Amino acid sequence: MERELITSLYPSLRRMAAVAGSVDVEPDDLVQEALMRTLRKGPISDLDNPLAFLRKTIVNLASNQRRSLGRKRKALALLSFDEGWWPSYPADIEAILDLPPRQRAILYLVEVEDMPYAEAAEQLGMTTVAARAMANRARKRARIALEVAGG
Amino acid sequence: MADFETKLRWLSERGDPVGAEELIERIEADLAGVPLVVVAKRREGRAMTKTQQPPTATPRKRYRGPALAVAIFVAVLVLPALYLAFSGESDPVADTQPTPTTVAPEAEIMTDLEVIEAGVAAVYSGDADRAVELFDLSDRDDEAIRQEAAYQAAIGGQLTLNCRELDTPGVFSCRTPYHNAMTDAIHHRDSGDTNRVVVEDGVIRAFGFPEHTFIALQMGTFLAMEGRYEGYENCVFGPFPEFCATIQMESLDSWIEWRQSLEPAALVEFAVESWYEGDCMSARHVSDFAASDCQLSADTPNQTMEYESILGAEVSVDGCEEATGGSLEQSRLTCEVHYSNAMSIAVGKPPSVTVREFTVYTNTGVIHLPDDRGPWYTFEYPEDTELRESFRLFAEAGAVQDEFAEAGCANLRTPECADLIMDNLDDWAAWYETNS
Repeated sequence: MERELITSLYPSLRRMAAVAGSVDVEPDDLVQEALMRTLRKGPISDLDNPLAFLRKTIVNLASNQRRSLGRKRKALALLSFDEGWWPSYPADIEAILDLPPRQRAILYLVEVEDMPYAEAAEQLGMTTVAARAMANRARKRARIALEVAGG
Repeated sequence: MADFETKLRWLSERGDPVGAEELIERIEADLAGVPLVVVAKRREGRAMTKTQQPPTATPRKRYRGPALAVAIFVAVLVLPALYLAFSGESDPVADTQPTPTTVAPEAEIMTDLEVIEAGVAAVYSGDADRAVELFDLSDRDDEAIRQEAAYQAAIGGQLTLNCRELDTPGVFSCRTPYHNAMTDAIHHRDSGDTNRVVVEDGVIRAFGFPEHTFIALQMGTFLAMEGRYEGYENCVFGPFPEFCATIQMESLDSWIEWRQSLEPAALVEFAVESWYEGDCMSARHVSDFAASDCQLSADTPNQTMEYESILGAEVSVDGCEEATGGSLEQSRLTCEVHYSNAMSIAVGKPPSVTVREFTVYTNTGVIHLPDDRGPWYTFEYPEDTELRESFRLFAEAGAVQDEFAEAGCANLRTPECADLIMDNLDDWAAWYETNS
């Protein structure tokens, strides 16, 4: 039962991991970590809403990793390391990648999965008002980042 | 960036998926080669719920010292005495029964200090029934004592008592260093508040439960910035419901990560933006610790936020620079706040810019006016004063004079005032074009 459930959830979880995760973290690794953490506590099939729970876990993991990686990059920059390992993306994608994982996640659910704010908020464990505010903030930041990149 | 959907869709498909099968194999390998179906079976009866503590949670520790002392006292003196009284035999020791760990209240044989110690032990070990027996406070009812006990047990609260009796019998001055999973996680050492503790007739009548308000506040700011504040409004000032410990323990690791990379400018930006976006809980928490006031519709800050929301206010914070006068726990920042709303859009006016100072208390994650003169929004309020003033002139020119006065527009930013502006936006814009 767990296998079937994971198989059915995998595509959605991987997409969320790809959106919320840092680009130097493999989305599959993020999905694996989320599943492992959850399975260590109990069967996934026991959860009321496994997809929402795992998506939330993925976004939390991505947020933690982003902070850790941010510090690592700052440290490397101070040591004048070559930053060539950091993959480069077109400016419009970079603008989205600069957003915090939670902001990316809410935008993805609302814009791509066409989810109502109330439902997206529930998936990510926040209020509808906060979800709407966060999505607005994300759009605004992405626009500003793109304007700066475009000169 | 008009097409977010395309970019996000592209991002969601990045990389080469390994597929569900391989992922399951990896997980099974990591879980000691046990197939998932067996893992699930093995864990039957341990259904996970949202309230389950994360594996990193500090195990609950119990403060057993005083309870043990009471138990030994009962075992050594009381039980033998009872035995002798009823049996008349001379050597009761060999037949003494094991002392129960939870003893019935024996207030008459406990000193006042032992009552305090037993009460504290009960609360911080989560023994709510015993705590209710030993505490009878004017500022907390039994239910609040039970809550405190449940919360402290869940958050791993531990309190050390250093009491000295004052001149009046039963009145003590107690220093109470306190720590829990949150303070331990950030290596905060508490030297302890000193409180007056009163014992009368074997029960504690006055006692101050220590709290680390700055930590609770900072956790609230973290949750607000993560969009997860809901429910936390009851967790800033005690007594704390047990669910506060659940929220705090679940967020412990990510909160620690966040506080290590906290940028004061990001806090200012969040405070200001959440205010104008009408995210009342978040805005009130980071501005004046009053998120619970969001229920009050007549509250002036809440009315102001609703006013801005009706007018479709948009703000951005830019160019924050460190001002002089900061300290380790507070930063003074001078920032530009760019503001626009339906009025500026109606007349094609660019956003107004207010340059002003904010004081960021990084230890609590709260934004105030410099020199702690109150919430940031009570002075030099960022808005387009020129357009607001022009509506006053328009209204007082006779068009909507009475409604303007009734809505309190002259002195307040009320929802009624915003409605009045929106209802007359086109007329005002035309008037503005010729009179500005």
